[in-house]
Parts: sequence; structure tokens; C-alpha cells
Amino acid sequence: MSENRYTTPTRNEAEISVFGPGVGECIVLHLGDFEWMVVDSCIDRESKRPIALQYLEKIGVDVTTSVKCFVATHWHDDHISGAAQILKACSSAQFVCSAALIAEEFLQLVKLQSERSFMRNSGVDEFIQIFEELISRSPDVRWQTVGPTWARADLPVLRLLKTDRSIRAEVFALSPSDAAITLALHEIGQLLPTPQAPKRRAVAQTPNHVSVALWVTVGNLHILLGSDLEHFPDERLGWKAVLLSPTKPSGRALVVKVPHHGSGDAYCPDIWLDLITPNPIALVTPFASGRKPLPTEDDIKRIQNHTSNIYCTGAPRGSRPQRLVSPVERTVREMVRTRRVIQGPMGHVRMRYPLGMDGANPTIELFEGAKQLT
Amino acid sequence: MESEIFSTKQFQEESGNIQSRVIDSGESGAPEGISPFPSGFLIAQNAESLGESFSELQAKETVTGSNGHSPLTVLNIPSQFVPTNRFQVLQKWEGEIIGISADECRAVVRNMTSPEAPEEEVTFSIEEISESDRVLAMPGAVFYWSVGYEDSLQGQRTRKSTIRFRRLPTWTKKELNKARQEAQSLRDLLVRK
Repeated sequence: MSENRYTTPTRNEAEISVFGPGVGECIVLHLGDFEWMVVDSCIDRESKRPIALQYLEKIGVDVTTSVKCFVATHWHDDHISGAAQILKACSSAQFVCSAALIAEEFLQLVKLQSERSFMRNSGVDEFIQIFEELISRSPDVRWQTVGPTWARADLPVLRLLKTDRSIRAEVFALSPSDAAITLALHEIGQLLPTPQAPKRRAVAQTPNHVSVALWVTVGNLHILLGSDLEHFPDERLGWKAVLLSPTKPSGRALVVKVPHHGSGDAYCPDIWLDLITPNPIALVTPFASGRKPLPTEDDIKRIQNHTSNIYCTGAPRGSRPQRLVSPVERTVREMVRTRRVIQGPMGHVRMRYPLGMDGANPTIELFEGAKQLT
Repeated sequence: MESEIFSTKQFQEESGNIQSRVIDSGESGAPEGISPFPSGFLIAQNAESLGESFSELQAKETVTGSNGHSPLTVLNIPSQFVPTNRFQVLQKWEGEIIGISADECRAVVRNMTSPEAPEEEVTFSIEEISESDRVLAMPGAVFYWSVGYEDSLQGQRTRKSTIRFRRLPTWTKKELNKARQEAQSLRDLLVRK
């Protein structure tokens, strides 16, 4: 199957490609008419490049002109790695991020973190490079690409309505709600250091209130990209706020990128009834980090209640680490409770769908360890 | 002529009839040619031949040995040269705490012995961290984890794992104020229309 991997979709063929190496995700969408959109970013372990750029270049897309929009759904490390490189390469792309990130608290955090070198890059580090790239773009020449476009619930993010386009393509933000933005500001404020505090790396510990969930319409195809949006009892937050919005988009999604790696925290039964078609195509990226790597077996069973078409970009449990020299291996076994490699091969699930044809069947292809969850 | 190094005590006991005892350096971290002793001073015969290593130590005074041979120099020993058991590192990681609970740490570790190895995530008991370092164990904190053999001065070998946390510098009010001002300027640039 891999010999067909690097082929370009036709003008009237929508594509959603979901990539995930174990921790991290990236989504590449063909919006018809050879125009593309990228949502989030992760790095290919072998090439050390953002997978979106690598893939698009291999299928012959000129990223400087054909990528119209790049969305960073939130600033957590697993969604933003390599985002600045994407934005730099996709020089015509409009940059979209959560409206919560316009807050001075976040920009202050960005400034503080950029002055420290840490063992690993963080999502905050990535943002300083993104902002530098945006500022370097001349507003006189390409004012619409300076941005960012600050996404918040119930606002359009992208409309491709050129008269020469044969297919309507629109992207709409479902979140964050106003209440979520307020909470996110509080969360970010908590990460700001005080005088005499050690210069540690900022590590997000709280729910993903800033996440931008997206509704994508390409011709007659609707796609729900759930980002890491979670489910809360409070109707002003998360998926409840989306469902109660009077301006939520009409139609039902045939394809859903399952929110937050299929976790129970992000499971809202009503979105499967109100926003998604029965037996949809569910795309999942694993999150191999943490005490309970996602999706768990319970998570998969829960999604299976709604569909039999679940595709995951890789093994949820990470992989076995390399064996160490004998005395070290013995010591490590005595000392650590769990140990695993969290980044594996860059799994890729691709769905292509012919637009404008009633009853058309999507084509699903799986690459590099991606698999159907049964 | 090779340098000969003695402990103060040894010098006092053996003055007038100096016995050379060249101690193996190497794992202790002392400059080549300088051997560690528990005492705060070293007596070095013909210390000039130590070259750069010698210059790293502070000469206290130079005396002439009662045997009438080469001058002896009394050197202050920086604390890092004070001998302890010898630790042979077999494996070293740099780690960063990504989560912590009452009894457990979760960390990402990078293999410093084989840098091409992929990052790993490990969990271990908080008890593995020394009491003095536990206050530093917070999300974002960086530590170094070494596994190896410790050879005691008495010649006994023990397999050992050590975790040491990096002492990070602290934020100053001035730095925080500067970041606040820069954030305001950045915001002005980003929201321009």
C-alpha cells in the first residue's frame, strides 16, 4: 500500500490525513481545488522535520502558496512541536490560534520561557518563534497573513469562496467559549513565576480549556476536529458549551478526529448524537505518555458504541525501550516502576473522499503502524 | 621528575624521610598529577612540574623538606578534590519531571550515554530522591540520573543509582518586569490591524 502513499488527491477529492507518533498529532486537510490546511504539528523522529511539511512536499504540494491556513489548537507540547517551521514554510497561510493566547499573561510566559534554555523545547518556546515569524511578515504586503486569527467559539476561521473555486470550503471554531477563555487565563497566570522562583520550564498541568475544536465543511463533507476539548458538567465549558451554542454549524460530520486521544475526560455522548453521523469514521491519535496511555481499552469500547470504523495512528502503549548493559538494566528494573519509549513510528491514517457525489465511499489508507481498532 | 604528593598527616609523620605515594587520580575529578586526600592541604614535592594542574590549586607556602631535596609546596585542596569512594558511571540520563504525586515522579529522560537513543518516560518512587533534593522535584525541574559502580576506599564494590537535581537560577523582579513590558509590546504588534 505504501507505494501509493505519495500521490496527490484530485481537485474534487477531499483528504484528511492524521499523523501521530505516540505523543503528538498533526492533521493535514485538502479543502479541494488543491488548497490545503494544517492543524497542529509534530516532528518526524527520523527526518527531524514537521510531518506536515514532509508529507505535503512529498506529494508535490507547493506549501508556500497552497497551504491557506495553519491552526495551532492549543499550546501543549504534543500539538505544537515544529509549528514555527510550518508557518515559516507556508508563507501564505493564515495563522489561527486560541483567543486565550492573546492575553498578556501568555505573552509574558512566552517571553520568560524564551530566555531560558531547557532540556526540551516546550510549546511556549514554539510560540515565540511563531510570533517572530508573524511580525516579520509585512502587513503592507500580506496583511491578512499577519494575524494571528484569534479563534473563539462561534466564529469562522477560514472561508475559501473565490469565484473560481468549484467547491465551498469553510472552517468554523467551536471553542473556546468565553468562560473557557477566562479559566484558561487563570491557568496561564498560575504558570507565571514570582521573584525568587527557580527558572523552570512551564509545564501545563490543567485541562485544555484553550483548545480550538473545529468544524470543517468541504462541499458536502463535514469533519469535526475535536482537538483536546474536554467535557465538563458546566454548560459554559467544553463540549456542553458547543452543543448549547445557538450558532453551531448545521449538518453532521462523517469524519471525527476524536477529542483528546479518546480519553473519558473528553467523552460527551451527545456530540455523537447531535454533531456526528451514525457509524462515522473516527480517527484517533494515541498519547503514550502518562500513567494511563490513551486511548485505554475502555476508551476504545466507548467509541465502539458509536462506530465500527475507528482508526488509530499507532500503538497506544508506546514501545519497549532498548535493553541496557546488564548491571544498568538490573538497577533500572529495581528502581523504576514503569519505563517506555513514547515516540514511535509516525503513524498515518488517510481518508480521501470524492466530493459532489452522493453515496460516494471514502477510501481509508493506513501507513507506518496505523491500524484499525477492532 | 614526577611530582610526589603527600597528605599533611603523612608529611608530619614522615618528615625527614619522605616516602613517595603517588595515588591514582582519574575518577575523582582531580587534575592529572594531583591526587585527592581527605585533609584540607596537600604537600607536593616539585609541584611546578604539575603545570596547569598546579595552577588550579592555591599554593599556601613553600617549604624545604628536611631531607634537603626538592622544595615542598603546601596546597589548599578545593573541596571537589576531597576523596570519596570512586564512582564508575556506566549510564547517565538527563531528565525532566513532567508530573509528580505524593509518592511518585514521572519524568522524561534523555540518554546521555547513547544520545541517539529515543527519549523514554519513566516513573519512580519519590523515595529515590534524596530528602535534600525533594523540594526541587517539581514539574519542569531538571535532574541527572547516573547508574554505575561505586568502589569504596576499602575496595568494596556496590552497584549504585544516584539522582541529583539541577539547581536552577531564580527569577528576579527586574527580569519579570522586563518580560511584562515586552509582552505588552508584543501584544501591540500582534493585534495591529
